[in-house]
Amino acid sequence: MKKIIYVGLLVAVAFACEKPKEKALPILGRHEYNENDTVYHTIDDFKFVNQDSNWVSQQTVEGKVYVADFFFTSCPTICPIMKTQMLRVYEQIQDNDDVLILSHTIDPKHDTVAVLKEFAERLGVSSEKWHFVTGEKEAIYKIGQTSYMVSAVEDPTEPGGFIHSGAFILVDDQRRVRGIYDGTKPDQVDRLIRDLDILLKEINS
Amino acid sequence: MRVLVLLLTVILFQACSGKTDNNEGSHKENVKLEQYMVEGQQLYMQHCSNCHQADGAGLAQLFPPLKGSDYMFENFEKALCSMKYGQEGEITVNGVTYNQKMPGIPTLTALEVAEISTYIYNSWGNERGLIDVKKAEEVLKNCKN
Repeated sequence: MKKIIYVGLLVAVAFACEKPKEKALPILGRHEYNENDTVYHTIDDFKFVNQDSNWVSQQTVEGKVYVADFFFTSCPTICPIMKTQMLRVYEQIQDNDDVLILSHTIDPKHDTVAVLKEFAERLGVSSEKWHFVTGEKEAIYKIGQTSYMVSAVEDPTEPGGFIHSGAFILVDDQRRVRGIYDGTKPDQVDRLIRDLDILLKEINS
Repeated sequence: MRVLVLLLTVILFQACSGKTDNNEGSHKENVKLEQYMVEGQQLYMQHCSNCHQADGAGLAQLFPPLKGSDYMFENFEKALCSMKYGQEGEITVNGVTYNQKMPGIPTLTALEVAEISTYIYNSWGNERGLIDVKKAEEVLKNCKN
């Protein structure tokens, strides 16, 4: 009996002494397994237009890490907070070529390229770094739900006419979702900023 | 002589009582201001701070600041009306233009408008004093929509 306790203690001590490793980020979404590999959930191909009328697609984000969200410019509820918080992310990454931000409008009828352009300019952000994209409504809603795992629906009874998630989604260079954060909560956005660093170290190592 | 003393006493008494009256008045006013500020802050955090931010500084060139806003002080009635009925079109605040539609909150009562107004007009260095419910009622009656 005593021996077991000693061994147990030794093991515990050995583990305790091991240097704490930075925890790797999880890979979110449904995994599928084929014969010898795990197939992870990835973001589907997409093609939207940004505030400069340029195409933004999976090629735009190829080999890059990006943070995605869903909003609309006339939103009176959570979007302004999301944009305030995303601006913090932007300030962290604006000089980093490996990171982009992709904000999808869920109200493409109102949020035309011109509206998005003005919005981005007034926010004072560069279109090279932070893409505000619009496209076909169905395509935007579909990619939100199936790829980014967030929801958005029209609801005329809601202020602004839409109900949607305030999530920020962290996507890695292989289009895998590595984190989902509440973009209306400063402490969750702090975590996103920290996780972004961990992810950048991971892909650069 | 006696009459003079009596007169003096009366005058003194009145002067004193007058003064206490005033004190009580301003004390009441202060309590009311405090109440309005507390209620106003809660309403502000709920309805306004998303855009105008908790510190009243606004956001970039999208949402104008309320802190030190010349527009707010020069357009007192408009500012109160916009809370309930919204506002559209370009405005200039401290030399910067803003053109984001502000949605109104039609369900706000005159008292709530008064509380929010008192809060934003007396926070972050702004100073205008109490805006009571009567004042808000009067302004809201004349809003042009």
